[in-house]
Amino acid sequence: MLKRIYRLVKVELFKLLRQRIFYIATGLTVLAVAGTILADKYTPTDNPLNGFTVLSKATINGFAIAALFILIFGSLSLSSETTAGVLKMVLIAPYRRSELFFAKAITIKLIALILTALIELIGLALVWYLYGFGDIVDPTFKDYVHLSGAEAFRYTVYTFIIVLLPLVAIGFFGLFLSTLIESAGIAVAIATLFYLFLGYLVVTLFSQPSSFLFNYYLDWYLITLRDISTGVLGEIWRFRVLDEWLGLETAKGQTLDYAGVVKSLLVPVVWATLFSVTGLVVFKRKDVI
Amino acid sequence: MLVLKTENLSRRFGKLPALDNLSLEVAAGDIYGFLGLNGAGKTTTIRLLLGLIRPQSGRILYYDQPLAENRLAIMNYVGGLVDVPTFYSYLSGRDNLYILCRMRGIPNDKITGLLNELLEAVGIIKRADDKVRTYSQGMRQRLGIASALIPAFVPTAVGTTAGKPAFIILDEPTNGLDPKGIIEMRNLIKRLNKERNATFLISTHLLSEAEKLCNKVGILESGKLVVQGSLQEVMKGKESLESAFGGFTGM
Ligand SMILES: Nc1ncnc2c1ncn2[C@@H]1O[C@H](COP(=O)(O)OP(=O)(O)O)[C@@H](O)[C@H]1O
Ligand SMILES: [Mg+2]
Repeated sequence: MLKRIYRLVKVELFKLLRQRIFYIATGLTVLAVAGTILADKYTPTDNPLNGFTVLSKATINGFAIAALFILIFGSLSLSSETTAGVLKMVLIAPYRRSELFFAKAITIKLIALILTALIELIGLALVWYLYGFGDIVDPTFKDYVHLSGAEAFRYTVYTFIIVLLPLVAIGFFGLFLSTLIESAGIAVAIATLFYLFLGYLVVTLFSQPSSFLFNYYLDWYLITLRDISTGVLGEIWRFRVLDEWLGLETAKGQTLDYAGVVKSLLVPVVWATLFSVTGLVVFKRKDVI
Repeated sequence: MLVLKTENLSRRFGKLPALDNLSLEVAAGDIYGFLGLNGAGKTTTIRLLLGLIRPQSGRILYYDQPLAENRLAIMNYVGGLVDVPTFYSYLSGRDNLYILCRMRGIPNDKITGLLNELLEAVGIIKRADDKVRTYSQGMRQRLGIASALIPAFVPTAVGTTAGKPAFIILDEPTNGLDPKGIIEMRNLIKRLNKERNATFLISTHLLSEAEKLCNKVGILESGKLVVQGSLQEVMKGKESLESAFGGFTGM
């Protein structure tokens, strides 16, 4: 079964690398990151910018674009093949529908991984070269260090890793849409609407349970990135908890919200599971015409 | 020996009974002509046979194994073309077939030769590396036939067909083909039937074509099988399949 899914994933990647939209997605994502960094570099300011501030601005832009494209790739994954009629050709091959579905899901994870890695590596490299990563100091009391460069760097790495969770959950939401909606155009349109404002609407209507989805949900992770860049520790307790789990020294006098950390790691996993299981159930029962 | 047998297969779409108690029998080595007018239910039957849709009642058996429980093993030796063939338009014809070969687990080093042979056989080798987007309707049809024929082209030694000769289902394969193409495909089907023991189920509304190609026919009318048997039995002294068909369907 695993070998068969592996084979299908390779086929998915074979197709992906021959589609223009993949290069558009990676191009725009890279542009967002590099563009932000370069624009900051060549905008005259009185205070020299801290590397972390630039990095967070740039990667937040990158992640926002990547999230949209991951959602689009997800919502296209089955619907585009239904629209084009190729799904029937693919389904004649000796595979379970679940295997095909898992291969699509894994491919979405890989796309998320590729885009995230691009954003992070390009961001880190450019900022390192143009700014360096110094301590985050108070703008008025220059000798007061909010966060040491080493600590800020470590927290950035934490964010860079866990941001994958919401990105994958968003992609799986798209995959779920693509099992329900046969038309690729409509699937992408609905996904984009969710991305733009339906997500907020759901959040407002059902506040708590859904507040982890879509923009707002992704923001939750990105806020921490912003925190790192200012050294103002609004959400940074999460990283201090991770520090403790990893056996590293933590700042004294911090209240550590363990439940909050568990939730922030678990919620996207729960969403991703929910969307993929529902999507699979729908896909397995579908008539393929 | 029966390769395919359906028992009282029925499928409705809403209120419309597209298929009603269909019991087909295709023996090993047959070229079975599945005849019927537009809307008779041929494509619906083929979708059921390939597991793309499910019946409301009845069973489908390949070598006495029910399709519902053994789809994976069965699809290893079954190939199919359903309705209008469709492909990834941003890939070349060769790459489309390559993907299908990979999915069937044929090792990479065997695929190149197999694809050349296949593309040559259906007559599109010269355009094989162009994007499908640029293909004419007839070329797409040939590519569709090629995609269905993959199990018949896999050398037995490769072992992906579970030791069984191929069973190929073609839905109106002559669609969009010019007269030369029709003759080429007919000869190809006959050759694969003879040389590789491939069994065929071919749906068509072209009665003269079925008469030239098939040894067995079944006539479908409004979702019901009105007759099934060898070409001679069904023609029963009539001078052509067309007049026999008229007798059974009141056409
Ligand atoms: N997905 C579907 N939904 C509703 N009706 C359908 C569907 N597929 C086929 N039909 C109907 O079932 C009947 C048989 O169609 P089909 O099997 O395509 O016929 P054929 O291939 O013999 O021309 C037709 O009346 C057709 O309209
Ligand atoms: Mg038809």
